[in-house]
Amino acid sequence: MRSAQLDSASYAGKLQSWASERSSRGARSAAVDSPALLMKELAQRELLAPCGPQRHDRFARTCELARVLGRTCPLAVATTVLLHVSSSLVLISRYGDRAARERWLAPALRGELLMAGSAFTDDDIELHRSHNGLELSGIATVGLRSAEASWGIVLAQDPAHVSALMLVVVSVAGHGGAPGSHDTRPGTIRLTGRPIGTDHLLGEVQLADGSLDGLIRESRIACCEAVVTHLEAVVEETLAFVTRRSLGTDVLARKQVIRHRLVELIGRREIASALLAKASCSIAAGHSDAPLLAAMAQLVVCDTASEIVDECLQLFGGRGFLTDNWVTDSLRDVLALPLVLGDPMQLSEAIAAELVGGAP
Amino acid sequence: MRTDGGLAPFRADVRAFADREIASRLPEWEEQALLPRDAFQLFAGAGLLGLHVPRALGGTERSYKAAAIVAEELGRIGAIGPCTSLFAIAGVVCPLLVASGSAAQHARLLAPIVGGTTIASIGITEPTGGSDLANAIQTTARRTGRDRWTLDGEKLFITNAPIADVLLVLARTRPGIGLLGMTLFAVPATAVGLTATWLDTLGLRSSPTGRVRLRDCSVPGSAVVGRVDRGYPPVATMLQRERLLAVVAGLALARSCIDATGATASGDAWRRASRTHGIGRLLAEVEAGRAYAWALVDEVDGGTVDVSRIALAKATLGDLVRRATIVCHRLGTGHATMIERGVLDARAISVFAGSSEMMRDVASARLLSTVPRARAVEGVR
Repeated sequence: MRSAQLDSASYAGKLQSWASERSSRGARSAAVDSPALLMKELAQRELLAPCGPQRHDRFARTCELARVLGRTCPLAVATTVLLHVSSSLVLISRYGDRAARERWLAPALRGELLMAGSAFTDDDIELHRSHNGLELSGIATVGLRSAEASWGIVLAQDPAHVSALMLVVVSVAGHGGAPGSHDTRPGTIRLTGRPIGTDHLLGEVQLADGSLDGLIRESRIACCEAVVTHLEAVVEETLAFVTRRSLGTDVLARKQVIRHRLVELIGRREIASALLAKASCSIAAGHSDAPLLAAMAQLVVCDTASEIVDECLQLFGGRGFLTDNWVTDSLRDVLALPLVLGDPMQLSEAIAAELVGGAP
Repeated sequence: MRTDGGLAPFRADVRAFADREIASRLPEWEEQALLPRDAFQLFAGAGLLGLHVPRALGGTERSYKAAAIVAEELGRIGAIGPCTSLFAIAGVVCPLLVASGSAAQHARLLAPIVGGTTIASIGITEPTGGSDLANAIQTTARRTGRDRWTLDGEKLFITNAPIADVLLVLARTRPGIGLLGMTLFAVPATAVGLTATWLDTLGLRSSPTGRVRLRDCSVPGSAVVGRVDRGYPPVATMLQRERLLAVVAGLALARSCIDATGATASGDAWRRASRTHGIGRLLAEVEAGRAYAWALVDEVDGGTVDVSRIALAKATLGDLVRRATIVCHRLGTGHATMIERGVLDARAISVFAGSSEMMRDVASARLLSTVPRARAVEGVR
């Protein structure tokens, strides 16, 4: 127990020291940061493995990492790394055989390989088996900062096994936006007609056991942690701006309409953060209300993020329209958040359905 | 992180009390726009009037978290009116008397108030302003004769005033020095020069609300509660606690309205309605609000009263409660009376104990406490 505490304290210490270093470097700009770069840094500083799939306290560690990434990185970079760590690597570890782990997991934990943010919302991908191997049909989405990613995992339906979904590793090289760009728009991969070796089939997920849902939930909540801390940084940056920008005879911050708007945004963020804390605790404790609380947190965080970033940019006036302001990158990133956190309309309907005791 | 701690049995008792004793009587109280004296006996019987009164003085000596549980359970059944009347006494008057009152006042006032035989009220708000106490308090108290004070002024929106037996009145005793120079007086309703009249309010029908006029109202020196000129600080602290309880009760009301709406909905109609009105999103927002409010309750329970964050919660969540009840009312699927009452009561939550706008001012004051007043020079925006 004591050694676990020391271990935990040491991880937190390393994380904080890395965060301070990044802050002093001003690494929040999308132009100077990338998921691949970040993965290398994390691996070099031994900050990646503790969040890796073998750890029993993986979720807590990932949330810790998420909070630091959210404060110090562009949001798309942070969420891409978090999806890679908390989703793709766990899937390979859990479902892949030894060869798969050696091929994808080991280099990933060394920071040498990046998996694209997996798009589990694609529901029209089918897996067909032939004497040549496997063939997929359908279109997969690759989101966020996946330009440097070489592989991704898709969920495919095998018509012969309707009670399970197949996890397949596919090459995504060249589909996640132009290399070197910080494009966060989702790219698509046409899978039809591309033969895939059987060694790319990680395994099958039984739909009834809910384990995949749990994993996706943890991954999305970790991303929410990054979003909420990122929003804190956005509000602080905005506050700093309005306290030095003049309008008429005084600084902007002294105008009542500005003050009230800022306070409202701070309130929205704190409220989202409180719900997120509740959802995280529920997940960590394995409570039965975790799915509902997580869905609520995802929805509230997604809504809050777009509202706060949009309103903050508005307070920047003309400066909010220039790309040399890192908050403008954040707007582009929050527009892509439904890809990561789930479709708000579907989440909203699922939550509403809970009230009448059934799925929508 | 919200937990009831060891208070789960207490919550169960309060829930049973609210369902058994209050829910069945509430429609009649609302219809008749009154809260009978019997109601205070009910509260006393459940030990709720003396929540924050030491056992030695006849109370039940519960924590702030327990008070929040009571507020939440009353909010859950839509009893915002009775909740308001209860906490004017249990949340403000009694703690003030316990903290600042003399032993004689404890004996004379506290015991019958906790026992529900004496109804109390707290008079702060005035016609010239709401919770901006520093500027709004114009009621004066001046020394007249040997050990007597004379009060003059007017109080508005005073909970329980029309039926109160005793009123705590905050009055200015030293004009011109802002928040200092105010004193708290315990004035009997029978005092010559005091008149309390009913106000006809939109919501909170079952919480008697009134106007109090003080004209040459003479009280003895023994009416002073606490120290002369030092009446404001304890009142301000109680006000923060009251604000947060109002939010907790309001959010429970909002959640009940959403649940009631869902309970009568079915199938496709519900799916359509939830899509159109974003009921799932609303439910998530209300639950987020509850998580935040309970985080603050935990803080207050631990001894930290963050004025700025409580004001923030009051403003943001008060407005959310208002919006939530209106959306539920629009859906119109059932429980019309409860939801309609919720819409009207919710308006009070974002107004009393400091309006949302006032609260945003309070919250932003701390936010910008470091902003220099001097004009910045960074070009034209």
